[in-house]
Amino acid sequence: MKRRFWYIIIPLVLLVGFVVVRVVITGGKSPLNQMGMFSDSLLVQLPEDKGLAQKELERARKALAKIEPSKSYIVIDTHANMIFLRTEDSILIKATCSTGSGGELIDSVTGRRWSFATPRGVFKITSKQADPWWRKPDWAFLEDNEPIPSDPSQRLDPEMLGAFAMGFGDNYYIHGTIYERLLGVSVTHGCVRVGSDDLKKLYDMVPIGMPVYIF
Amino acid sequence: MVPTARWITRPLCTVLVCAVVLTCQKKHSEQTSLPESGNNKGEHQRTELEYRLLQAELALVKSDSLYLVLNLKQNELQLKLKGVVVWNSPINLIETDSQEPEKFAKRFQGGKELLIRPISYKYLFTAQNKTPDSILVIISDAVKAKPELMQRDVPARFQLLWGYGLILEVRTDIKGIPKSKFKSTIVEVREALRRPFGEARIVVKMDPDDALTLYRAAQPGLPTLLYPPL
Repeated sequence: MKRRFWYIIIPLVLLVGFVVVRVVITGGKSPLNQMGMFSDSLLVQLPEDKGLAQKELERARKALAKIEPSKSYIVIDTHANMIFLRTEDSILIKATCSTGSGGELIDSVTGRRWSFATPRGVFKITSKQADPWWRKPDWAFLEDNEPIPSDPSQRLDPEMLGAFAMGFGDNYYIHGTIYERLLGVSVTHGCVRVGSDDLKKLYDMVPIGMPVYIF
Repeated sequence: MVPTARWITRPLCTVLVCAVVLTCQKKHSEQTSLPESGNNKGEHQRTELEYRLLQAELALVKSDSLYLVLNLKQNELQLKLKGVVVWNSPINLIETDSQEPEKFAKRFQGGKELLIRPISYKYLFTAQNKTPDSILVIISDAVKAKPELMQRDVPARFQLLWGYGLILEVRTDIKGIPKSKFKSTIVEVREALRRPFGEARIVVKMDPDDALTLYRAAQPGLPTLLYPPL
């Protein structure tokens, strides 16, 4: 009876021991997962022939060079709430901004839903405007518990966007703000707010068509 | 020896022996699979490495998502989007042996000449809140957003891990508060146990703003492209 007990206990101890050692050493992840292999860099091979290899290399170099922007571009860092005007190797303007809060608003009556995040990806400056007026969307009224006006003129606000606005993407803007104290905090509805001095510099240096990289 | 004690010590010894054999085997296979030193690479190998780097980057550019570049050749960390640098920070090594970057690169590549690996895990040891919670509560009331969504942990010390014993530790000048003393101890003990069986660890000092961006952007799964030092 006693012997049979140990027959059960020994394999159990061995199994638990293995699991513990494995978790301690690998952190609980299987070696396959740890490898997290990307096959792209393994599969490509340069032709053995020197001439062909050189040609292939040149083709790859050109393909990558074509992607790199030759002029300056805008970078919006939503993680640190910073906006940059930069080139590949130098920063021309660095400023604190405010990006989307990531919050959501649901209209309890109609069920409409808005997500207040700054979109990420690659965009272009599509418009530039001095002294812009904000045409308040429905969510702005819902947020303030105000009725949505039927008269379009009641939606206009000449103050909110500051002195300049530069459009990108689907109706998003880099613009000024009357809440400069909130710069550096993610509080916007998706647009990018910049302080008045930095906004002026950006406005002067950014042409329509300039790429905007948001991450 | 008492029979009961013998029955306890025997399986424990077996477990220990098995663990040592397994880990030695693992280390042996890692060592035998590591590529030759960069110094011995011929012209063709260098060209091939450049070609593979270009192809790897072109593959990442196609993916439309952010990726990290560990450029050990130019001593720079970069975040790129569609092949364009959106963030960069110099690699200022601290508490790291001068041979460690090369060791890191070899380990990263393994025996299969890997140039891309995804981040498998990140761990925040110490951090500081960017905005005081009391202020965020006031702001959140005004902008109708949850305060926790607006809070930013300014990391003081954190690690990025790629599995396979690859660790990048980032430290800043700011004095952070430990996120979880217990969890940090577990992580440190695990590392200490793993160290004899092989790991490559680079420690860099970084500007707090840069560290904030890297910490928040480097989510598990973020592809990382390695530019070897040679």
